[in-house]
Amino acid sequence: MNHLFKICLLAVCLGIYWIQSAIDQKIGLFCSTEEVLYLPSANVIKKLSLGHNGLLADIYWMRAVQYYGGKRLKNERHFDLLEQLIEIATTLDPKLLHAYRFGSVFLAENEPIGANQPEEAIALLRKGIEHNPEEWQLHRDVGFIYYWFLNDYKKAAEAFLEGSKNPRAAIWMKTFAAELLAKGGSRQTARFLWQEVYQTSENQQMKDNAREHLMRLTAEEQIETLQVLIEKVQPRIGRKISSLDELVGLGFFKKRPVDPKGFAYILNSTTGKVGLSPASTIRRY
Amino acid sequence: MIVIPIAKNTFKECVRDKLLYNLVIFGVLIIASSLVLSSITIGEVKQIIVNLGLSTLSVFGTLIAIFIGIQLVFKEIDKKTIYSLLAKPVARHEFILGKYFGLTLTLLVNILVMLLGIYISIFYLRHSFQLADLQILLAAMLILIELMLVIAIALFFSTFSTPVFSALFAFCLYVIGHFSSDIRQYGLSSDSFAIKILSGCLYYLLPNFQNFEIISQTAHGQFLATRLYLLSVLYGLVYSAGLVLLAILVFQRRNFK
Repeated sequence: MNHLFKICLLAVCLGIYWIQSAIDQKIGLFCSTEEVLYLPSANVIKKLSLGHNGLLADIYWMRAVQYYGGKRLKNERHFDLLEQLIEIATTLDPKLLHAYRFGSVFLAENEPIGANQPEEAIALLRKGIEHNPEEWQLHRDVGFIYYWFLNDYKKAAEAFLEGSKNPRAAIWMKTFAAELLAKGGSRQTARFLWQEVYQTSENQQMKDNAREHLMRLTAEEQIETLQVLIEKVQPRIGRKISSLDELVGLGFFKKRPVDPKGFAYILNSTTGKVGLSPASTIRRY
Repeated sequence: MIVIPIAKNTFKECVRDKLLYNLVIFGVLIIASSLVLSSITIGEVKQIIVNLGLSTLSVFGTLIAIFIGIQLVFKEIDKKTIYSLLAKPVARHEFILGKYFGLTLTLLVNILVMLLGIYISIFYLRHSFQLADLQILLAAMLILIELMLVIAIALFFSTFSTPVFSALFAFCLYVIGHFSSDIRQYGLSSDSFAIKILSGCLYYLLPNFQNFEIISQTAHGQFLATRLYLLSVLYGLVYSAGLVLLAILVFQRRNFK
């Protein structure tokens, strides 16, 4: 009798394993946080937390990260809950700095990388500034979003200038604001900003993101140089260049020019424009 | 002082409940979960460990305080061991005090075990300690004061009510205590003079558990102002003393015939 119970127990365990595996196979290995908020009001959650709002803020922030990550992995373009999840996390713990900083990046980045909501990202950062006036980096992030995602250089300069009033702010903030007003959105200023993010970020994901953007800028520069070169060479040889291999044959390069990730650039023979290889993993906007 | 042997005995009873073994397992779970959490989120891992660790400590401490606290007196009456105890030269107030301090000692050990878990987690992830980490110890001590207040509430109810009702009353009071500022705010925003007075009375009469909400600040490495910290400790001790006194008064009037 005892053995029968043990066998039954083993059968139940195996059954559970089999059923769960079947469910997982059906819904996929990784599923993003479901599209339900349960409690949509941050203030209600805060009241119900009985003083454990810090832990709940961490949980909601974790949910936001998982939601964002899940959507990215599935290549989905709609991040409907993202803003609310971050809003709840930051209301539960208004000092949750990484939720403002990373959350604003998640919101501001263009689709499919982010939610394409730069205005909401700025509102989130403004909320962060209100609760953490001593954190100059939040001003920098506001300026950055105005600059990069909204191309509003005047407002970006204002944000950098505002942040520079903080005695702990980086010294480049003030001069950069002036430079921004004078030069606008040049590649030089963009490179400076991403370089700054890359060098000062302690978080690996933030660094990786900045490196991706820097690689993109490098690729843009290289494409421009190649384009200029082709336009100069064509009148000299008296015909249109149809492939970049021809430049190698003419002795301009030892091998076909490649982007920062090692993928060869391509030349569209119809339009005459140089571009990234379709296989290239350089981030496209 | 007969209070100490009763306290020791209460502590031994709690240990025999295998409560502490569960807590050790929980401490280990915190270490494991913080490692998992650090890999699925972005941000300061120490903050998560502190939030999770101190909240676990507080929630489990509260549950222990309520569910053991309500049985402290009831069990003795139910098993009729109270007769043999009170037949000895043990005053009723000594019995109550012994029970109270016995459970407090249990929770102190519980907190120390959990604290060890939190510090091990921090050390595992950072391979070093900083002076600011002492803040966690201070927060844990304030949580102990909060738990002493919860024990006092549970003990007070257990002197005249059944365990089920005692647990219910204690839990309700604990929840209401976290809404103290709302009660006061409601009164201040009301036009009615009677409501203003009533909410004012309730505000001061009910235990204000918001005074012990320190976890979030600790997680951000912010030190609570010394005066505020000491006042919170004092509030907890004075309120607990009041409740234990009330429990003694009720227990002294009880007739066990």
